[in-house]
Amino acid sequence: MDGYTKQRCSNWSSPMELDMSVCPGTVIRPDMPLGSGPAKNLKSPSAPIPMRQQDISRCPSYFGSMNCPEMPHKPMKCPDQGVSPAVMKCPSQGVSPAVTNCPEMPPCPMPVKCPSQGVSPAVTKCPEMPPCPMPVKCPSQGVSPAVTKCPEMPPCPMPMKCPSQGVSPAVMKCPEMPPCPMPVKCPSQGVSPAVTKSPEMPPCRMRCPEMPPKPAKCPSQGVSPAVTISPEMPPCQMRCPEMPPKPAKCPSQGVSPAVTKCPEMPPCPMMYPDMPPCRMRPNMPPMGVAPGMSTGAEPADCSGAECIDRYPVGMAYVPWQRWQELYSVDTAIEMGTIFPDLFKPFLMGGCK
Amino acid sequence: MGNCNNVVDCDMLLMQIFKASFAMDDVVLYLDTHPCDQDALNYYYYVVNMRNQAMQTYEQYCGPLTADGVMDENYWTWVNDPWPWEGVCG
Repeated sequence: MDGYTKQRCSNWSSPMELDMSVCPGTVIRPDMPLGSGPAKNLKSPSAPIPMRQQDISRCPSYFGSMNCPEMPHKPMKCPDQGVSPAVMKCPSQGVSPAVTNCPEMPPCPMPVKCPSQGVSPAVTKCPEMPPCPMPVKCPSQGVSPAVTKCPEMPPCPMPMKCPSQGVSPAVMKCPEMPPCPMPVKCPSQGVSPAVTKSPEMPPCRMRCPEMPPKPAKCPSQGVSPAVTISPEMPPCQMRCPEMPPKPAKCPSQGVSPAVTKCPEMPPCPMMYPDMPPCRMRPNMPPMGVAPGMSTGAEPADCSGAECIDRYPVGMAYVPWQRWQELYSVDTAIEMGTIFPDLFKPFLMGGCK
Repeated sequence: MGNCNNVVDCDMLLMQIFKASFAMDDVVLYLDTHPCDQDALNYYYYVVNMRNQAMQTYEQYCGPLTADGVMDENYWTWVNDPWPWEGVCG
């Protein structure tokens, strides 16, 4: 992995508490955009990166922990090692065996190259079968166990087959295969980032490192500014351009208008002929005097309840009570009050 | 049991107490907003005096209205009056 950097899932942790720092994985050159292809060796770009045996042995779970319970154990012979650790597949099923679960023995080394590429496919080769490729499918499950762990990178869920080979080319990538069906593209690339989920592996979250904040619409655009929240990305706070402050008051009116443009405000509709002008408060009676009572302050042509239309709407007024003739105590308890002017019996009958 | 033999008098006295108490409560509401109204103050004292006299008479002949109205020093007359669920004398 010289000259290469590992791609890490920043917020992913190994559920098995493995030391993933030395686990092999797909490497991506820092100058290579995501989704552009498999990692290449700097010295020979056409050759994939070899995987070391010690990497495999130190990270046994890297190649998956999927079991096919119904599968018969058909150990395949490896010339050098005796019995291959394949337990996942049988050659009769048309798929190469796997190296996933062989705790007692070291796994067969991984093929470095696909045969069609003209390079020795494996360090130790099993003549009768492709050497320890990754299982493509569990027959009982119908799904590929795939690479179960994604310690440092978004894994290729299924390094399936090299088209030219027709067989599983093992864990290592075929040159023609797309590297990872991961969230390869960021929104700037036309596709929104997403979390790829595989039933066999924890989801590797792809984070677009330098995503520009998604602009939210400003009020002028019809939508109020808001915080855009993405599950993978921190919310982007949208700042709208400076808006002119709304005038709180129209100086000529002295009352805050409902709209910002004071001069263009339509005149207040006059509901009643003698209604005071809009937003003009009538002369209020002094404190302690009911609006209907004469205080001498109201106009001469307004007295009593006739002036009720001159008062602002939405306000309640209770005429001031004055001491007057009372009911006798015998009558008051029947009337419910000692004050005859507060005797307000319920008149049944409704509207007529 | 007190003087429940004279049922009518006790009932009338109790009703008089109710009437005076109601008038007192009503004028109290008025005085809360008219504290300087002398007519209301006069009426207040009038009904209070009426109520006190009715209560005094009732407790003298019918029994205590409240626990502090027990006057017998040798017997707790509070239990002589009918209880609310007995529906007598009230």
